[in-house]
Amino acid sequence: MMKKLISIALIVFISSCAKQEVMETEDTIGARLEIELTRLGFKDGMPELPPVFGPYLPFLTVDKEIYITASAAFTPEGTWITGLVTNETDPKHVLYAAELSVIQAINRVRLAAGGDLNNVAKLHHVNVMTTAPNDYPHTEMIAQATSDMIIRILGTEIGQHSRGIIRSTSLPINMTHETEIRAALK
Amino acid sequence: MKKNLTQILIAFFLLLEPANLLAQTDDYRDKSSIDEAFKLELEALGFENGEYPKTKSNYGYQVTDNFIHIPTASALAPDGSIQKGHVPNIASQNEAIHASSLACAAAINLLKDAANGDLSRIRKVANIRYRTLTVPEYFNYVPTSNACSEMMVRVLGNSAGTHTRHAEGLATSDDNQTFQIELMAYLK
Repeated sequence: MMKKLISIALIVFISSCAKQEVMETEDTIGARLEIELTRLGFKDGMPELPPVFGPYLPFLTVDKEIYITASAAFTPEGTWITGLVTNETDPKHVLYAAELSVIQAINRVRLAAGGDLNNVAKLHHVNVMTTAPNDYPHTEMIAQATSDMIIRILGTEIGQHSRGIIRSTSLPINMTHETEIRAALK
Repeated sequence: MKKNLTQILIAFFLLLEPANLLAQTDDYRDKSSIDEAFKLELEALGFENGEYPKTKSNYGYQVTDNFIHIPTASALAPDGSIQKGHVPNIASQNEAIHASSLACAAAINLLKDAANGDLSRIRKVANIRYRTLTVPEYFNYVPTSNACSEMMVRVLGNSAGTHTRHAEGLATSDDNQTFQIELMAYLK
């Protein structure tokens, strides 16, 4: 009888530990995202998706594959960051645009995953799209900051990705910077 | 009580299923209606008899399981020419929009080939990348991209034709082509 009781207690203990671990993981993605949102000035959490400019979708899923439309930098004040990057552009400004575009991209991935980033199994690929001239010295740093931010939010296991840097002569509506993510659902 | 609950649940699911089927078939298009829609687009673009020419000017496609990748579709005109030059300095905005429609027709034609001639086998266009040869001062990509996004929906319908997208400006392109499309789609 005693042996049975100990076994039951042990099972209950182990399962509660496992549950706690799962909850911590879920909290961690949410908490990490919240930290980034607060740092960038989004006081009310994840912003609403801005409108699209034509007959296309901001995100979609086919089976477990997530596709998003390339996401530009949308500020907490509800404006786009626009203007070409030149060699005189402060890298801090480009970095801010890159981080805001990551928030937009992550938001689309989140919505594609049913509103919960915990449903994302893996990021496949990230495209960092800049209007910087080809001799702009900070492009690599901006791309690295993009990757770092994604991993800070999603963790290494889910967030690590392959990456491309695309230098566009210009972007639609004179956007400064865009981020595109391909991911998979669990 | 248990039996009643089970019956209620079964009835609920039986009621739900036809509703789901209706939702799925609401925008359903069969092969002939898609072919007809595509033919109308080709006629409007000046292709004789609404038929896309047999050509080697496009770059083919890859099919892996049910995934279709079209790396490049060019804006081939009915006379065999392809719009060249930067927008807006060499090619005008209207020429870029026309090139978008032509490249879109080329992409749909490649999708048709990838689906063994039956566009109703296309389950979903997942992503389109619009590549326009531009100068840095040009930002008016939306009408150019929309020309193809709209055609894709007109031909394939909302369910299969709506997609995510990206537009980028190229400093140079192969053969100085003004506009090209990359497309990813899925077969049923």
